[in-house]
Amino acid sequence: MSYIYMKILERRPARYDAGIRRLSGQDWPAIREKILQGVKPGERVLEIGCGPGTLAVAMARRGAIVTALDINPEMLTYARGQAAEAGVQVAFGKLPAEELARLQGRFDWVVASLSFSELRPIVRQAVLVWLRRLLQAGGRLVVVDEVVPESAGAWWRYQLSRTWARLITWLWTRQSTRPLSDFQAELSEAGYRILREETLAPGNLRLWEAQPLEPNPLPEPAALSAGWGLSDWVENFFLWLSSHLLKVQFRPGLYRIGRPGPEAPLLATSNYRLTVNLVRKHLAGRDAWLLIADTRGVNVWCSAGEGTFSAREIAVTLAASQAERRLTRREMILPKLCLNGVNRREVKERSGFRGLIGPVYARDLPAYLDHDLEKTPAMEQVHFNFWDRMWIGVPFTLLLVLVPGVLALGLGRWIRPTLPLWFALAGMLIAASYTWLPTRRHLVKGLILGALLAAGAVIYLLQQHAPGLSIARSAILLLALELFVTADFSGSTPVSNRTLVEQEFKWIYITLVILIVLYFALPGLKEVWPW
Amino acid sequence: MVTIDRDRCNGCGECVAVCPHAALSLEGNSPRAVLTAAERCMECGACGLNCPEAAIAGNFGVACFACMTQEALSGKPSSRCACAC
Repeated sequence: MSYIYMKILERRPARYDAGIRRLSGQDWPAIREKILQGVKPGERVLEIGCGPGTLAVAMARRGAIVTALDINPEMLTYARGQAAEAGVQVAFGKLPAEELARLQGRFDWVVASLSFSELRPIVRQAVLVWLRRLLQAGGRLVVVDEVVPESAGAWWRYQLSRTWARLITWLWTRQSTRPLSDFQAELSEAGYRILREETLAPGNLRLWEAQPLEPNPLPEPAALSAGWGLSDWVENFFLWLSSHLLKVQFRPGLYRIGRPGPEAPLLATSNYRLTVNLVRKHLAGRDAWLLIADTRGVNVWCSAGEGTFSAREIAVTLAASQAERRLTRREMILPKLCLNGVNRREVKERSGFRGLIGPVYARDLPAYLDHDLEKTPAMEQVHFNFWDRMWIGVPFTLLLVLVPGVLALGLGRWIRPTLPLWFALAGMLIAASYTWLPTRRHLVKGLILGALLAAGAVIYLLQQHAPGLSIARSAILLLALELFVTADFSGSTPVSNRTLVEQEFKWIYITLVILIVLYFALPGLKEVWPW
Repeated sequence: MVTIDRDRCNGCGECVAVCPHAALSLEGNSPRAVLTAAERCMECGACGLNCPEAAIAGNFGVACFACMTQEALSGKPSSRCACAC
């Protein structure tokens, strides 16, 4: 289903069932019958993502003992009302899928209807692993969900009809829909045997009935290349150049580098492709396990700051990859910069793995691993020397140049082709001098550098014998540009302080407005005050 | 500004270990955590999150001008950065 449509429906519990019926063109009462057919009175059923509770109530009516979970409190309120109206007992609970490990109990059935497609793949995998523990011996899992059609004709029809919905959804929520594309593989990866698989007309809705395999087979772990060659350099160069523009993702999960045994070190990192590559580069030639958390393609520190790199996410990834069955050492080396989002005690509580504080930079990993996990003071601390600033400053500036550069192509008549060059200069100026300036205030930094940039322009324009007015206006514009670029750089540095930036936030914009007003008022000022 | 509740602090040193700027250290006979290099502190929040006694408070979060602009424009806290940095 289109994600946005689902979200709208989810805000209207009473209309959810009718809406889903209209959207899917399916006969939902008949599909519910298919799910229900095996459920007998007295059996214990767990429903994941119960929505308005229609299925849960129907199962309870049959005499089943139903536990139904959802994350949407409005849905749960409505579902409780439905159960009360029907006069049946259903234990409703609010629990996100990522927390399913906390659920206790044994069930004869686990049912999930249109809920797996709302989960991220790594969460789906963790849920399947956790459900094994919740299923009674002989218990069954029934999943009904939207799939990407397999046959070519249906695939094209499906993609064409979904494109607009995807676009609107993405524009609105910056999220995309995730219909299941290879759920059979996900089931077998988690150790399930498929008993029944049924495509429900007209083709993009499918039902699976599966059972945990005993004994539980352990799939081969995915491998990361243990070498580092020219193509890696080229890829990393482009990833680095685009690092302020693109969130290039790597598939999360547990990977082996080389041939690690169950005692080999386990390291954790984010799923930004550049980060993964850098870790891989510094572990080349070693035997190690690498846990890649789904940080949505964002680097370690930013994702920890955003809350996507967390103890919970680590526990989800460990569960999904069945790490505790592959590893005997209950220790994990965390990148030091994830600790503003990862609580070490919580990692231990949730996963049983002790989180060790690794070095800040991946480049220090070889020395850290070779010296019994001892860190030198330099490995403990963030550096921001000239080359670190260039590492961040060059891609930052590239993004800055791109905006006026593209504008200059389209609006060549109004925007001078030299404008992108001034942006480039402004970006590189702050990147080069950030720690040389004797203040932490971006307002002051920006005004100092802006004055320098403006002075350079004034000297150049005087030599060109430009009119005084245009010299003054250029100077003001460059001052404003440098101030804005300096402020914008704050978030890209690993040293700026939150309270300080919050304090100066308002003053930076006030100064910018004054400068822009001055820029436009200058020709008029000249008439009333002719200097 | 990061503040440390000296009565709650048990001197375990976790905050010192997690700080990426070596801004904290343990001081005194019965050691307590002290913010010794406030000029390096960015209020990233690693110390506050990992303190087992919840003794450390601060205005924790990212110091990103672009994020703050986005928050000011949309009027709600932006949990996800728009930029790819």
